[in-house]
Amino acid sequence: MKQTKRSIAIFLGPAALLYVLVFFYPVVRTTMMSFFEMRGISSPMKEWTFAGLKNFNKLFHTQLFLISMKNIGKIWLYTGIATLGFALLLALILTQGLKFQKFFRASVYLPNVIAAVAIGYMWLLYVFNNKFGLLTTLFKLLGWEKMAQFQWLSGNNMFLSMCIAYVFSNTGYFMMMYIAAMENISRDYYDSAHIEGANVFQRFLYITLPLIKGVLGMSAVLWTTRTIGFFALAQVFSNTSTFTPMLYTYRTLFATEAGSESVNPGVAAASAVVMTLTAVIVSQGLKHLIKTENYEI
Amino acid sequence: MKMRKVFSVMTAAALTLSLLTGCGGNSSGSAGTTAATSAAAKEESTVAKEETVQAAETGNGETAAEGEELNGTIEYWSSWSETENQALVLQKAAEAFTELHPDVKINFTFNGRDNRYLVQSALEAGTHIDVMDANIDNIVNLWSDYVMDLTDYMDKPYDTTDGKPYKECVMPSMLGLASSLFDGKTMCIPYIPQAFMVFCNKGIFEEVGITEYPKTWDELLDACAKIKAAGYIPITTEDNRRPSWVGYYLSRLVGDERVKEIAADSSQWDDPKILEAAKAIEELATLGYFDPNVASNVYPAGQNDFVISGNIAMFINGTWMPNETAEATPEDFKWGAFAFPEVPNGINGREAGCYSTYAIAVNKEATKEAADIAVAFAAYVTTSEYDQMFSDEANSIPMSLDATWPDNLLEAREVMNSYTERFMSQTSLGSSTDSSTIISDACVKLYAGEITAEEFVEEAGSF
Repeated sequence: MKQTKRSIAIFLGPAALLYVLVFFYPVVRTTMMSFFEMRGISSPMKEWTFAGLKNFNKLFHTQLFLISMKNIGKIWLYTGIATLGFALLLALILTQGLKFQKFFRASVYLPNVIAAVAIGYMWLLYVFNNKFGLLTTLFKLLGWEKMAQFQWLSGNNMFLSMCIAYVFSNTGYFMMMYIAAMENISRDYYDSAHIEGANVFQRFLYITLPLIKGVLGMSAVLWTTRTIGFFALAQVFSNTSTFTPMLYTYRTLFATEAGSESVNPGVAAASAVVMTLTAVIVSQGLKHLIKTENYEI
Repeated sequence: MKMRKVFSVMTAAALTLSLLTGCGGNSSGSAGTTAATSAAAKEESTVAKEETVQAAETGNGETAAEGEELNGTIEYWSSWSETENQALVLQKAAEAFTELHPDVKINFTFNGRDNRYLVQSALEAGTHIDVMDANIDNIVNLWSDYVMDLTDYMDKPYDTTDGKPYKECVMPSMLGLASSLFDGKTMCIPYIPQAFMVFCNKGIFEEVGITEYPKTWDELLDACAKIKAAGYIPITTEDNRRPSWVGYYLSRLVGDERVKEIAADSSQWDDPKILEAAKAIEELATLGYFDPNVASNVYPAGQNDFVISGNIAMFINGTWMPNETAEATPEDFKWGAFAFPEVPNGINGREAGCYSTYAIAVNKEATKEAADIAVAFAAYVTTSEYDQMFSDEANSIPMSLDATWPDNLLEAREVMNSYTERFMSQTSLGSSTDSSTIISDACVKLYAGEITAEEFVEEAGSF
């Protein structure tokens, strides 16, 4: 069929309409809400009162929100390095044609399909429990008393414990992405490099890495958008050091059962706007940082 | 090929697991769906019917339900999850109620605790809801614009009130709470009351020779000393209840209203009374009275440990705890409970305490027919044998005056009956979402002896 403006409009129409309804409208409404005060999230617009920048002012004077922004930065950076690093390493190992390779791939990917809440509680109740948890039992068996006594869930270590759980459930997803990219690279490059005497590190550094750079960049952007909405594990590992902006938004919007007076949809909307802007800025920054060169492969 | 099969099976299993355990706990069910419960309900409804006849004969003859026959379908959005005992009893009650009133149908939507905000959004969006329940503080704060004034209904008799007005058949303190929160109007009908107090392993108290529960702070310190000397852990808590010790102490010392101000405003934290409370709790920590695991106890690990290990004496918790731990509790475990002791120079004594209740509210937009059914059902739930069933099967506190309380809450009953002044459900220290996480973290560090009282004030007050 010939591409005309009409046919483009017809084919794009439904998707565009859905996009406008499901994404664009909520974004616009939330942005508007951030400049108003209202009683509940679904209060009709006629009941809103204009507040100017008051919500943002309150937000940036709320210690918990500032802490949560720092936390999300730390989660993004630390678990980002760990997750993407592990994913890359595992992808490298699991593209070498090992025995049971597919089984290992499936095993690493598996946690990604389990709901984050379930993963969180699994770690919290069965792995980190310091009386009968997996780690405590394991270290006791090994006779490593100091580690067996380690309080995984005390305030100071909660952040570390949560990061471990997060890396565990995300590595598989990015590993699969890297594997797909690596398997796309022609064997010929490696064969000729091998003949020329390049060792495994040189082959990785000079062939694999440049050829999957685009995917690496994309994974970093994806990582950013995934992390900014960090919620389920923060809710499960409930602590100041694990508090995230998404959880702040949720609590401010719906409050807890004990703190139902604190509902403030305007401030929650402001927090959502700040998160969205952060995600956009960081993603764009990353895109510029990791420029993709196009190779013929 | 084999690997692929293994992979697909594993993925499918994981997907199913995630579906089963994922969020989104909405579930709905209508009265009269399962054969098993319906058979049970039939049997029970016969009893209910007999009661109705008796009521008609002995009372002033006409119940509200009888005056004009109830007719219609109501939509009930509830704060229990479908698998919780409370939800099961509620459904059984509905079965029996609809047997009694054949033209009535009750459709349930069980949303769990998220109901408090789901109802609000759903009503704004025009969803048809006639009846909804939530914690009464949530009804005041979130639903007060949406609920109907039920004051007039309180003077009427219902199916199971023996011809007496409803208000004479249920705990007056709870009805009092309902009207005091809404300027004297009854905007909701309380059921499943709850209170927050010191729960204890009575066996330990008896073993170390404590015959009377501590009434003052000094007596508490003495009790802790005896318990510790006998090799037991005096006190534990877990993440959900962390502010309880500081919160209760402070509310005794300066009053719960003042604590609410303190929780909402970091500039109030130079009040020397806060340091005084922190010092008292610090002393408990220095003397080693808190569980060594207190810093890493995550719900429900702490409360399970409390009943399973049998070596922890006290845990400030709610009247829901015996129910939540029912399956883990050994048969010989003796539940005890007492009011948080008086503190030196405190403005409140043991007559003040945290209590609250769930309550059934009616949408103010509901039709008169729907409202009549809703109130008749609420009255039925709180005065029929199902009120007792909440007690028997869900270890909840019954509303009806002549119901028997669960054995493991008998002492809690005495405590609750002694309360004449109310603190917010788990003291006001956790009433602000901006500060509660920060305060709670500082509390646990104080209990674990990681920080001093001065550092506590500094840390908890930085929000």
